[in-house]
Amino acid sequence: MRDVIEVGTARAEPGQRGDGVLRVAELNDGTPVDIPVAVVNGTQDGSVLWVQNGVHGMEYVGAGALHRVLRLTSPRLLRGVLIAVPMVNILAYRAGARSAPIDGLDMNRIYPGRPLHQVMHVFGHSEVVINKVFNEIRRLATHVIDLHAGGWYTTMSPYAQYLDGDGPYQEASAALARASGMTLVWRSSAAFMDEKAPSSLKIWAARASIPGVTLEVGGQGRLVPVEVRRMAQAVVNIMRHLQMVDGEPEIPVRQYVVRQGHWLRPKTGGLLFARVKPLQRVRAGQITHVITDLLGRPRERLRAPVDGLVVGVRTLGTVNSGEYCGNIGEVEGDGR
Amino acid sequence: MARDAIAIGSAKAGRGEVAYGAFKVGELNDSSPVEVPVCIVRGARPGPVVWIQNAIHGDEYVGLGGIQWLLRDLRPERLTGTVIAVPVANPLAFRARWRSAPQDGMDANRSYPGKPLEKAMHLTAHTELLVHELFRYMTEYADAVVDCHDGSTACAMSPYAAYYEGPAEFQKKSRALAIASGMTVIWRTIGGFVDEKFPGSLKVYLAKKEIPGVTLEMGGRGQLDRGDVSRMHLALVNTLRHLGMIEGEVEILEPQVFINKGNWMRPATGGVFWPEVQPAQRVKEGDLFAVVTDVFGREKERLICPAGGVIVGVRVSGTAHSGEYCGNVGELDPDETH
Repeated sequence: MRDVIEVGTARAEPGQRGDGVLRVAELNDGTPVDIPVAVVNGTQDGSVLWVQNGVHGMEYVGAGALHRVLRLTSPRLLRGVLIAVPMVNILAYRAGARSAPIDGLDMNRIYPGRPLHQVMHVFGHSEVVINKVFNEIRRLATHVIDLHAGGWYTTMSPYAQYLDGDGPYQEASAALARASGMTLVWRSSAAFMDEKAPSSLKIWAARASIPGVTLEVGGQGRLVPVEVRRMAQAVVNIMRHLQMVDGEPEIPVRQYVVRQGHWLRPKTGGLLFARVKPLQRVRAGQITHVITDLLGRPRERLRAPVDGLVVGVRTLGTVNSGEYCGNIGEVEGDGR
Repeated sequence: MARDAIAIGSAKAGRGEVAYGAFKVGELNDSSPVEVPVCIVRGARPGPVVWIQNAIHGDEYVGLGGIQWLLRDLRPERLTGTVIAVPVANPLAFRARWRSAPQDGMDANRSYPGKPLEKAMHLTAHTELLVHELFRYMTEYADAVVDCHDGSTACAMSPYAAYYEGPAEFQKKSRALAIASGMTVIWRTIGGFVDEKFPGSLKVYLAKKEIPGVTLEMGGRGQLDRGDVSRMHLALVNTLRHLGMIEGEVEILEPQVFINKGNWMRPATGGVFWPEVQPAQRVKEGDLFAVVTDVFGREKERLICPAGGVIVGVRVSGTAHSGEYCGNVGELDPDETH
């Protein structure tokens, strides 16, 4: 006898899909902030897969991909449960921004969030939202996928990132990453995650022993069909790997394992000319970006610090000092 | 310890000199620099170096007024030691008249000790780099740090001085700074509470470096109320008197109230916000703190004081979203005599 699955107002009997919302906040005119949720409850037992997108509100590829995944997922044929959340950060989405303007916090740096009475920041929005979302993940999910893209400013190679370590948890996460079929499989050490993404979902999913993976592709604020399909295929691949649906994951001939990422950040601000593209192979010292002042006088050249592949690259034509301009992944072996 | 020159960015002061300047913390996309203005007043006689900063949150102005009044009166020939004054510690937030720099939205007082460029974490790393530079200069020069705050545009704070628990000597000196400020509420902020409400705040990292420090708060509402500025100014003057840097006795205007816990008040609903208390008001457990109504005036929620004590701060802006800070009820410190 399988259970009814409920997330907020989304309720699905076995063999059904139920759509609804998870209420996370209320604005000062009394309007609610509701996160749309779709629950697809299968007819047989299996994994409970939580797939979310839009913790950063200007990342759209994963939302488009979830439409396709939901269309392809028949509740009658599904084993287990698919919970799809196409946009977590509603206030940021409304603003077309990474973070909710109400507090500006990066939602993927504040897991596990905080309940109302323990909120830290003055504007207690994002902390409460993440707490409510993560409580649902902890309550229900056996596996979690966090979909991202390059926002407005950058574009990302197709990659799957997981938290490295020893033991069955990491093995399960690594298997999810490989099964996604993304071109780059990024094995991130705990120390690296502590530096670049402390309190992100990966770290807290690991603490809750919920195997998980981050998937990224595309960006620039766009819904490019080939990128949307790539992301949808990655989710379907993982569902196949978990035997939630029939079929084998479709994995490309070559996958590259990224063992270390190197962030590119300028000391100066100016116009930004990008010289590299996602997945491009670069040599140490190769120029990735040129920064000029507004009259075209050179200010700075950013260079790849190591041999590797371009994981992400800032394509926006302007930059302030210190801002993310992309990252270069060092790959296992010679990467060929 | 004798130091040859104190140099912070373009401000360089020898003994008995006053220097105005700025240090660079970033560059915008038109290649214009982001600079933090700094004034160094170096006394004729050697003594402690006090770092006084304001507007790490860009919409807090009372300390800016207090620093202006302090600088107006300081004379190197009558000063022992050095005052390093940073009236606007977060220039991009100040320009935006917002708590945080809009470039990244990070709360700078939750971002200490900051990060150097190669270790920056956030996509837009401005605040991490800013805080890293501020803290680097503080640890290089300061024997004591005064961090001025207020209730920003939305809240009003009682006159209070907060210090942090830490190594014995650090805590003793920090407590003495807090009391000498003459603020009415003296707040011993304790470890677990600070971890919950202020991780990454300046006082946590001052404790690690064992540099005595105090947070001063007064007023807010986005105003430079002369009464509030006067109280903040007195606290700064008192601090210098306490450290023996200028002549005169510390002035304490009214009996001080000691607290060691704050209860943050946050509504579960959004609506029109009606405060029912004033800063520094004494309250009992169960007293009405505020009422949230819908726009027609129908009551949605009552915020009730969860403990007896004193109102540390209260929201005065007429509206709140769910979850926002709406004030703070301080509980009396059982380790102090009242």
